Amino acid sequence: MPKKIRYFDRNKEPFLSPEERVKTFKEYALGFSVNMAVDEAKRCLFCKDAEKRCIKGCPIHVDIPGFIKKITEGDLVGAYKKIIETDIFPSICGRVCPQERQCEGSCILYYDTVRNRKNKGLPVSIGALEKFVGDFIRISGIEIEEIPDPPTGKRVAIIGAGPAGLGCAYDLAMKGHKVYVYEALPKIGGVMTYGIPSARLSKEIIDYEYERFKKLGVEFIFGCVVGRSKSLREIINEYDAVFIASGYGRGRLGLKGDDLENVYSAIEVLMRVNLFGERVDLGKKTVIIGGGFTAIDAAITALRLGVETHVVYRRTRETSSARQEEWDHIKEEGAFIHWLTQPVEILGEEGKVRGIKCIKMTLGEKDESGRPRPVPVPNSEHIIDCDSVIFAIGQDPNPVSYEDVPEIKRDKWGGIMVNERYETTLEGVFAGGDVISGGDTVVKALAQGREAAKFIHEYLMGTK
Amino acid sequence: MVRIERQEKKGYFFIKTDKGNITPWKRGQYFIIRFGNNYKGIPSFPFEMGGETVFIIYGEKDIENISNIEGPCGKPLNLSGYSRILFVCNDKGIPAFMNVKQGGKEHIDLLILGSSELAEELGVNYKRINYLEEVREEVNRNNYDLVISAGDNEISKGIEDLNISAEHIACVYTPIRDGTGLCLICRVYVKGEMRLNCVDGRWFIARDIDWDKLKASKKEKAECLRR
Repeated sequence: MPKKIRYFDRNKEPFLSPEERVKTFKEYALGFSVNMAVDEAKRCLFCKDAEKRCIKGCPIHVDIPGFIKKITEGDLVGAYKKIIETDIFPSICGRVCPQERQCEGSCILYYDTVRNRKNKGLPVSIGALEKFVGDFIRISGIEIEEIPDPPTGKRVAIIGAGPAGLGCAYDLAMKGHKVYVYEALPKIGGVMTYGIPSARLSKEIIDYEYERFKKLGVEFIFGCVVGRSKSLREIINEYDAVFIASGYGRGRLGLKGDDLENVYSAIEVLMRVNLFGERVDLGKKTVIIGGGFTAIDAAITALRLGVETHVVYRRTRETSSARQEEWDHIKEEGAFIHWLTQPVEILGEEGKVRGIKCIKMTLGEKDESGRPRPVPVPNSEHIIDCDSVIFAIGQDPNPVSYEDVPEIKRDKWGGIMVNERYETTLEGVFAGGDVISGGDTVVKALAQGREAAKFIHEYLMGTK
Repeated sequence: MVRIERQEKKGYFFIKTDKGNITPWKRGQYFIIRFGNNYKGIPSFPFEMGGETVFIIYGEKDIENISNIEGPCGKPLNLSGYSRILFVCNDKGIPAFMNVKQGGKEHIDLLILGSSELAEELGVNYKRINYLEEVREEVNRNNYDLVISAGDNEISKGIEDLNISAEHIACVYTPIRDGTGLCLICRVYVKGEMRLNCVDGRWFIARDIDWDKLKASKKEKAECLRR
């Protein structure tokens, strides 16, 4: 009998109610139970051409039908092993990836990527299943043996313990190289630690992953700001290869009045709350400028600090880079979202923020990104009163680690230029993650780190 | 990693570390001493005493609670080209003075505004002044070609307002959360451009600093002035 196609009965991951979750920084997505996960896994059609569908949609090419099949068989260890063949952080990617635009957006139940047409149903909840598998292994305490190859005697330095650096460190350590990761902050994770709020990604998961790396013999040097504490040139001289994964995390401002008190970069707010456990003084009402992941994360944080939260974005929800469901989440929690609204000036009084002047926009012709260009609506200026303003309009590269090494060529934005093998213009120095591609997703940085590790291994072993 | 050896005294206290374990620092660089599980950090200039690296942290911090020491951070202070150097600070600027003095071989005179228990304790030679105007007289009398100021921004701004003939380099005090240049909390406007005190500082040519903007962004000023 042919398998019944379950187009619509997608299992919905249980969430805390908006009233409850806004009071806590604890995770609001509670995850699948075993029954829900197995039932959801059974919705998968295990497409024979999955390489052209969900696997292709995943930036790190997880064997999605492979791990889902294991769930249906009750083999969660097998499912975990299948995922970590390509994605070493199932619990993290299951939480923070924009699956609707990646694997789930390519699921045949939702979209036929081969025939390029919308199908009639809801995709398999791949992200929640991946998270379920990762969480099951972590919470149950099952030890998954990860045995590195015999030592090669080669030493590699990695600059930055974010997703790209960690991805690279993992693979190089598994290949038997001795890996040293230089991290300026006191914890691993990069943006996953200082940027993404605990409400979306529990820091316990990062701590768990840290232990995995320690077991592999990876050495972390915390509190070392490469470029200041130690020069990159010294590091290049000390190691057989260097991988720069310093990210793209410098906050960005850029509006008249941004020197007023209570004007923050989103990175400042997120870092102070997430990493240092501080309470940032946002006043009673804050305005967040931006429409991406960082704006959402800033809103999640501001709402949990008990602040009336407004988000202004010059484009529309459909053209924003954040996950669609996350707009719903912050709205449920009480955020006010002002679409097609462009801030033009921060207004102050006695050095403090008192409001933000905005203008309404409308959509015009498509711009170079293919999105309709927002155009100002004449005479639509208006003021939103507020006590603080948070800039979440993207980030800049942080060149501190490599600015004193001119042999490493930079692009016009200040990021590092590499070839297809992730080699910079200085021999033995590789780079990957956001520092080469601008701000992108965790999973893409992770994928680049792992891909770069292959080329670094070839370089070290002279098999290039 | 730095091993904390002992605490000398409560109040403002010394943290001595085994010198062999600390990353070598250059003149003008600082470290961030982190406390507790949430890694709350306080920037502090290191200096050497009795063969050990010393940090001085003001306030009732618990040394047992130190979780990490980060650094060295910031750009080194380059004093080449100057022959007669005067350092002006208050009691809180003494660690910065010690750091700068020990970072090179130049002779540096010290003026301290008000009294300084710490200078007495460290056996530092200095001249006490009661008014910043006395800096101008000292500069004219001794032909200093460089004045360095530290301790708090008001002292540096006050010296800058004197329009002295010597070049003036100021140590800038802002909140600093990490030494990486990510969060922008430590932004300083220098020659009209945004610079970051944590990675580009903490030493800037005083006349290039937009002191009004620095004053305006006085977030957590009370705390940062203690460093």
